[in-house]
Amino acid sequence: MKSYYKYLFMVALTITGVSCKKYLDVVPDNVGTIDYAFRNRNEAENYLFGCYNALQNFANVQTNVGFVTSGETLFPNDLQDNNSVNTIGFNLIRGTQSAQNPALNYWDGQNSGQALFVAIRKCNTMLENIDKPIDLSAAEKERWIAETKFLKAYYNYYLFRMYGPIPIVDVNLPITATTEETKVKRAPADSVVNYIVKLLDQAIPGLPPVIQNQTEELGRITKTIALCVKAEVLATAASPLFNGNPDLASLKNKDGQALFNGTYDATKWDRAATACFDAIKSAEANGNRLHVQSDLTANIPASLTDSLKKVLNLQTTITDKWETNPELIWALNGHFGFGNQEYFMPRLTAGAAGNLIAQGTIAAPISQQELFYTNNGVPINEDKTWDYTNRYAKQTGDDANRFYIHNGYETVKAHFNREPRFYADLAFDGGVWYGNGILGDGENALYVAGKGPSSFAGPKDNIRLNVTGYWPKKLVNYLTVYDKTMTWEDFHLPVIRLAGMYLLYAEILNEQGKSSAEAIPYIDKVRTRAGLPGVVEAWTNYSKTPTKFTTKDGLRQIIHQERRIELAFEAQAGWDLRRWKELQDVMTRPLQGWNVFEESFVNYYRARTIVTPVFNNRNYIWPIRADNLIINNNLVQNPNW
Amino acid sequence: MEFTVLKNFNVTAEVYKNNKYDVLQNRNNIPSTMGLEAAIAANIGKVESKGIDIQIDGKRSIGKDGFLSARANFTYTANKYVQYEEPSYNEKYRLLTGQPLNRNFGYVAERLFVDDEEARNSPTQIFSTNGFPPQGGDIKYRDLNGDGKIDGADQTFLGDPSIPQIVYGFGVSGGWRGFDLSAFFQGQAKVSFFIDPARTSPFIQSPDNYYNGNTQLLKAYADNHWSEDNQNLYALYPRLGINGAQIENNRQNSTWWMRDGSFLRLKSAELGYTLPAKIAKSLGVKKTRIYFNGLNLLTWSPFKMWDPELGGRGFNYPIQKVFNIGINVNL
Repeated sequence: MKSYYKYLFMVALTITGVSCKKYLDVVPDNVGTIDYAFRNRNEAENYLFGCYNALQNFANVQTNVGFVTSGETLFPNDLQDNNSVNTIGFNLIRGTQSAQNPALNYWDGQNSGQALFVAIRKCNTMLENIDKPIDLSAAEKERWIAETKFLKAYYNYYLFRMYGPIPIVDVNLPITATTEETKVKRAPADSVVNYIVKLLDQAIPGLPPVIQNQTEELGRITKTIALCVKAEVLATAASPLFNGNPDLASLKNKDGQALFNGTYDATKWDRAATACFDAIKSAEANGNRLHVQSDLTANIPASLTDSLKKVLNLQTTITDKWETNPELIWALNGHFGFGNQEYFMPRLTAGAAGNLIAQGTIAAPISQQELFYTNNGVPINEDKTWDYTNRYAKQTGDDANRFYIHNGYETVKAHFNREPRFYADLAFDGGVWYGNGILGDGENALYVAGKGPSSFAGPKDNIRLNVTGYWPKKLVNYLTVYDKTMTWEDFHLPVIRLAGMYLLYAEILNEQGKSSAEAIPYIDKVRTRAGLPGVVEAWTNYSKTPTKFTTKDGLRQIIHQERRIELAFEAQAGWDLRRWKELQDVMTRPLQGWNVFEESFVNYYRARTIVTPVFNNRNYIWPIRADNLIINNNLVQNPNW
Repeated sequence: MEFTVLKNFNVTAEVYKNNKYDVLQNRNNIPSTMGLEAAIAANIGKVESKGIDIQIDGKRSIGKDGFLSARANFTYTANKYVQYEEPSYNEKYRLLTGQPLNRNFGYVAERLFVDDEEARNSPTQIFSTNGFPPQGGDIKYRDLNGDGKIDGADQTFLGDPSIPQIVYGFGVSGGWRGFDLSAFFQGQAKVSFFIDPARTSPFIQSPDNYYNGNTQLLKAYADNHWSEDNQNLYALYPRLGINGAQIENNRQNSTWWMRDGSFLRLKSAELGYTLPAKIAKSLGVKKTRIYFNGLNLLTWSPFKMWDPELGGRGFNYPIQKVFNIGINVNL
């Protein structure tokens, strides 16, 4: 891209009225120009990958809005040293957002955000010049145009999710544009959505159904990915945040043009339903299915006990290799290994406790732990057979639960009789950790001991500690080994997987007002794989509100919780809770953790508040940096910023 | 302009006014929505500077046995941005246009918060790098635009530029019979600097990663800081914190930390005595001179905590005072 800079710079100089003498006013030889970037197929392909660049950077969860502002994770703000964790995003829940200098600014590309308008301009440049390469076959050209249009759509979608109405830059403004021309206006939300969908519709026919050349091209966009994104875009547009949200109805351009439609439009869900159905059909037709126990790879011993197989299947749904994971529809190319997994991993052995590579500093609050169902598949406060009131009383690990909680270890009742996803997604004091180099039948599996500094996983200093006592185990590959040294087994964090699409479809059907009998089968597919009874069976038999699923509102709550559990820690919840307008509710409760510095049971299991989140209505969408409004006086600020 | 005073002293004085135009500057009015990868620069800046330079030097003999020579220089520069492309902020105090070059920029500190209660009821000032709200004993900043919150829009230009507007020096040397004496003074004025609170705050990790462990405590801070027992609202150092994030509020550039950086220094001085030729001869040498000299002997400055020439970082290696006593013998 270096060459492109120079080109721009030269153009800029010549048009802004530099009156150098003639002998200075020449372009030196061998300076890259746009023509150079598109002179043949190879160069043009490089440019295409340049368009992909911003996309691949989304793989960093620490700067992903969906991850850091979800209430699923927290990072302490009083460590002596943050050990390379980027705290800008994590601090947002403490109320640090400001319009003067917004954090995670994806509009300008500041404060750990990416400059998405730059990415969009690159895509536009690609589309403007795609006819130039002399040796590009028609089929390849069609695919590249489709990919570029998808990327352009996705960047616009990312901006839309954060800022709502955005200016549409479909064609690059020339560098010679006047100041007035550059002062673009925001387009109404509905137009932005239609524009994104139009781009996706244009892209879909040109995309390959599956990636044939997996070693070289895995990660490039397929038809199914584009269909799934289209479904997500339309579902986002139909969701309460953007569909008839009274809080945003007042937002108008300076000429009086309303940017949000203040009235709720139920037909938006119909459009999303069609798109989501097509996406699922395309995924299934191209070999996507849920990851099941028989997909566990050959190196799992046959003797492994069933309960651990269940848990491991759920773990490997995320951590399996892309090529062998049938559930994975789309992941980003960034490897989730070194630089990531150690922030989520407890110290399990004496070797690890003597070698503080892994910090385990990105912690999950107690509220996230309580989100997971009981082993009957209903919320913990609804289960008739589960002792909710005394959940933080002492219970010692026994023989029956030895594959979930270490036999003879003292922990709290709440950690017993939970669903397999609880044990797959969270590590906690007393919890069994299968893997980390010990791959037997499960009888000798390691476990987390986290009470006080003397325990392996407990805090050793004010730098490398988990402040709540809950580690997001889901984000650590069970093959990663952390002992005297650490070896990372990388994986790709999913962006879209089939389970998520099923739950999205169930949600859309319910919102459309379809009968629960239509939506529930899609939820049950996911629940069955998680080792839970179906919705009807579970609620009828175990819930204190046995008919909850029969009402639209009740089923909505069931679907939302199911989705938050299934996609926990996958950088989805922050986006979902925003579009549902439920994030404020999550943020009204303090984010708590155990008293991790205490050694004794009684003192350790005393909840303390780590963060009291600050979240107002205005935080649902991002502020535009104040300077932008001065530079471009046609822009309007989002409400209350 | 050149002229001579007192017979032997030549004075050179220059008064100048300098207009620079077409200064290369990044364009600042291009919206991000243009999506440009590289900043566009253009020759649009204008800077005006004016100043005066004076130099004096001269020499004369006094009577038969003495001489005196003196030399001095003085420079005063005032410059300002005549044209600088920047967003047309509503708050005029943020505009660089019309400001001198290198002028300091930051918040206006009022005093320390009396208690947590007052901090809660004041305009919000949460600095975006952490989420700690200010407490009693933290610096209270002035809400310049009155919007109920302290943020980047409340920063303004403060004090004098960080580069001195006045620089001067003068020296004299003289001799009488066998004695000779010379001294040279140097000084600067109309300059401000910030004490660097990130690097001088005690007991926290320094932002410089080559420092292992925590920063030391300056005696000045130990003697005069806000604490529960000594709730002095104008203490030199505000509330202490156990790490940088907790006192981020106090680590902003503000008038709290701004100091006058002007000083006058006796840079060097030398006193010598050459033995009369007769005595020298009787000792069997041609010439003998005994002398004493010193560097950085005296400094006068309104800033007392450390040498103002060190700038904001009091822990930097200090400027040394050097004393020499010598005897020079020519055989």
